[in-house]
Amino acid sequence: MTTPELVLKAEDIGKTVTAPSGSLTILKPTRLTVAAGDSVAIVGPSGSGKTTLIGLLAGLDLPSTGRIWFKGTELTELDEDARAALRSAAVGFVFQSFHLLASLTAKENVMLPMELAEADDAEQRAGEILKRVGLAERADHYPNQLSGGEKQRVAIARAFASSPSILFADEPTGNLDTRTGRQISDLLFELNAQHQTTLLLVTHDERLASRCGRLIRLEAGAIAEDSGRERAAS
Amino acid sequence: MKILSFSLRQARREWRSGELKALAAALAIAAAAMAAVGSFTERVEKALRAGANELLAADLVVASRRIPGADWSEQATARGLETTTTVEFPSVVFAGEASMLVQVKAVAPGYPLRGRLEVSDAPFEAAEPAGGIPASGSVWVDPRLLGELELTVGDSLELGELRFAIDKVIALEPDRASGVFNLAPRVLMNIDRLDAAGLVGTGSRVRYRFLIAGEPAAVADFRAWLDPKLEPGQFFQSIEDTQRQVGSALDRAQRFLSLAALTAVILSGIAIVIAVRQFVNRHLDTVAILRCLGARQRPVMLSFVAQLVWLALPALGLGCVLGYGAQELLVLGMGDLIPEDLPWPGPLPALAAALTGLLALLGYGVPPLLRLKTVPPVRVLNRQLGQPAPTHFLLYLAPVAFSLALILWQARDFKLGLLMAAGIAASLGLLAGAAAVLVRSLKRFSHGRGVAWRFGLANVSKRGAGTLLQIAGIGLGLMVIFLLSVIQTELLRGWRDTLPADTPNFFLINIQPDQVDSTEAFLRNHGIGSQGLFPMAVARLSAINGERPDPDDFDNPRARFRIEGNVNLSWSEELPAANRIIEGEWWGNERDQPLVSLARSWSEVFDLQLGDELSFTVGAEEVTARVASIREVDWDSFQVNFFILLSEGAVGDVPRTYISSLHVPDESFDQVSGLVRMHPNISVLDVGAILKRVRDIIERVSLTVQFVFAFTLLAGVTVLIAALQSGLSERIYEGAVLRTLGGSRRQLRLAVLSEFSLLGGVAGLLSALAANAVGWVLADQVFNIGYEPAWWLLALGLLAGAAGIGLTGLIGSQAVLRTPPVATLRRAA
Repeated sequence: MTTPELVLKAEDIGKTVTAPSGSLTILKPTRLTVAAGDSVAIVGPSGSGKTTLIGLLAGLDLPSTGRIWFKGTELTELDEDARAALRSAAVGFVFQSFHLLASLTAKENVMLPMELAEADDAEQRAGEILKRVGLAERADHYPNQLSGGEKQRVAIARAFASSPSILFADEPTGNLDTRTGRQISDLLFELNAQHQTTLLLVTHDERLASRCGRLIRLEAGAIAEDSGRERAAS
Repeated sequence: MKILSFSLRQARREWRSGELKALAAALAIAAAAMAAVGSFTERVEKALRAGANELLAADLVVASRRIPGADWSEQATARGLETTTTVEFPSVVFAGEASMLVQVKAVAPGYPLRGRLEVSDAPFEAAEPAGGIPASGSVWVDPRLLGELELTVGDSLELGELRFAIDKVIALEPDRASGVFNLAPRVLMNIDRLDAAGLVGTGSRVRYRFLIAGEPAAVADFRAWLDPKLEPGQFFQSIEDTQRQVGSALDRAQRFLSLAALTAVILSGIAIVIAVRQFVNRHLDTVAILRCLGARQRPVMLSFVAQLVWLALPALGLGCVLGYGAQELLVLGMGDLIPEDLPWPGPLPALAAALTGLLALLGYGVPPLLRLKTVPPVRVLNRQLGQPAPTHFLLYLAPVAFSLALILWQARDFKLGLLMAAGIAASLGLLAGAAAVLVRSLKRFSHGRGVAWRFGLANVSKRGAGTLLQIAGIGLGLMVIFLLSVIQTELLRGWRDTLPADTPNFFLINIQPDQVDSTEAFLRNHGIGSQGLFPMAVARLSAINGERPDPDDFDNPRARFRIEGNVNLSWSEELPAANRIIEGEWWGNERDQPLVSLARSWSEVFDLQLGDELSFTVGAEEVTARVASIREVDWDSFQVNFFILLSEGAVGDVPRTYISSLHVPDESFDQVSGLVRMHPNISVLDVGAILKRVRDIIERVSLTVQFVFAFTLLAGVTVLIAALQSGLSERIYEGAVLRTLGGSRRQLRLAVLSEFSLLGGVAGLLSALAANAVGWVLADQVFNIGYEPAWWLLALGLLAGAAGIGLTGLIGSQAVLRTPPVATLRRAA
């Protein structure tokens, strides 16, 4: 049996911030690896460090301690611009509050990462993927003309538009009703399977978490449970 | 990332979505206000100057002791300019046995190039335009010459070796200097007889004046060509040299117009600064998302800067076009007060407006944009984690220095610019301090009262930094508007008051000592107002500290002029009105000592100090006196004033005449001619034309400032709207929350009204106070006119601020009241 390729490897990463009352540890030193094609759910109560962890793994922020490798490149050695270049090439994001640019139409929002990567066929690909998420008719609508579910579909289209090798999703259904949430997670997993993307998602939604191959539970800034490790151990 | 094309695409998208429209509108209105006011004031100033040049008989005059250069005419003609030459010198005319010292002026065809020479067929008869110059064999003369020599028009007189027929009487000579009371009457002759008459030989005190007129650019070009070629004793003569009152009025006019234009620039600048700040604040999240999606820092920054430029170019361009259109309307609006041939405004005001707009945009836009550079991408996950670092204050050094430079440049007067900049800085300090106090004290005050009132007051105190910025923005906007109204009312009234209705319009010269009583009686009997009769002696400066002054020792041509020419001395026990001692003391008990008091300009020309000794030759007498004081003289007062005043102890028994200034209403002019019939030796100098010109300048400037005021208000309203909009989205959200919790529309309206009325009232009151202070300092330091504080402005500031801003806030918040709260809340989610 061949060992699957490691997409992410984190060694003793921790995050401490300065607060008015002194220094505050948000994330205790943590070890973690994610293999290509994995789907990982990070769960835990509010304030347990989920968002901090995903921010660090995505290279949006740097840990106070420890090192992170993304496909063999040490993220923690790179400056912000080099990490941005890496994100542009290989990382997709879906957020709880969608983070669409209000001044751009749905299609332009989807085109944006491809334009940043200077892709020539951005418009065509954006059109295709919007059709894929069922929003072809609403391509020229602005975010404030879309419902929450539609906004999240645009965000998913944007995330997959540049064919990332890893997708980070922060509470992707957190702002949606149960039914819409289910539709969104269906879409997310469908595209994930189609694109062979590694998926890391933070969620409170147990049903969504249960659809992932691996579950990591955080409590008070430390991993309390990791089904992947248990599986590896067994 | 291809920054330019990406930024252009983004700019187009943002424009379509309406995000950029507020900033574009601020830019366009700012540019329009600057271009309109700048070009309009420039045109008015050019027109005033061109009008004043009528009193110079040309657009440019080169005074010279020798014959003007042979190539001057050629060079001027090549530039499409008109030229002519005049030659002036003292001489003696003979009529039979009688003779008289006269001041001859020989003129060439074309004279005067500007203004009008008027003549009549007999003394004090209806004057008409001369329409040319005296024919070769004839002369035109002052009425006094006819009176003293008992001649009439048609008689002849001898001048030099020739005999001339007296053809006309001079009624108005446009370029006769008003400040110099020439005792000798004028004889105007044709220049072609000058050599034949043998009048100009070596040693004669001849003054050549080379007159030039034409397109301003060509005149400036000629001046630039000639300037380095001028020899000692040749200098450019300006209106300030010959018509002091008009020169000084033009000077003030220029400052008023600069100030008016400056207010438009400052308001426009504030509007741009506020608008660009809002643009940047609204894009903090955009930057985080772009970075999260893999955009690098530099391209993101550059793309935002490029977006600003893409936006600025058409907006500023449109603004300049609108501005030029608007100034054309202003000109039409001014009607007859602006001459038809008002010079067309050059491209400079538009360029200045566009450049100012662009620099204000980038100067104040780029530092907060640099702040975007520090927006961590993790902000997309948690806004609390992603607070960008505050902009370092050092980054604002460049734009602040640029603003100061801009103000100094626009003011075109260092002192005016510096005082305006200081006034703005002090006003900002005052407003910010008051806002800080307000924020702190309201925390305690907002308990009790109704819920709406409490919510409104709590908002003021809760938004600490926001309140501070809003009060500063609104207050500064109001301050500049109020300042302009202070200028329009108090400052211009102060200027008008320098020329009261009874300002003298005639001077009587050459009254003999034995005619003093009868002249005074005549004036009294005819009810003609006069400041009294002043003694005067014509002298030559013979020594400075015992040494004979040599004209060649002085570089300043005016010093030479004073050494070679006559000076008028007077003496007085009391310090005359319109005079102020700036150094030394006026003689009190020491008036028996030989002392002299000098006007500042005179002491400066010769670099004289207190204690220096001056000697004058008056007839056969020699007068020596010690400099006891230096005076600032208000030359604009149209009163009799002297550069040199002696104490009784210095004068002795020198030969003297008397001089007086009169205010003669138009209809009683005939009465003055009665005085001249009684004493034909008395010269009447009509300065009514000059007085009229000065009053005309004041009126035109007043009207211009009024028009500019209306236009500048537009820029001011933009500032207020921009300042009010900051934080509006936050208010809309809070309003929605309040309504969800059961707040009624009435309560919400009251909350908004109380918040904005308080902001507006405080900003209005303080800005009115600041405007008064700045107005007072400007009146005293820049315009040298009296200032009556405009107390009414304080009440107006308080009321208009509270009502105006309260109401505007209410209108701006209508969206909160109209939109169902759930829609607002959903949008914010």
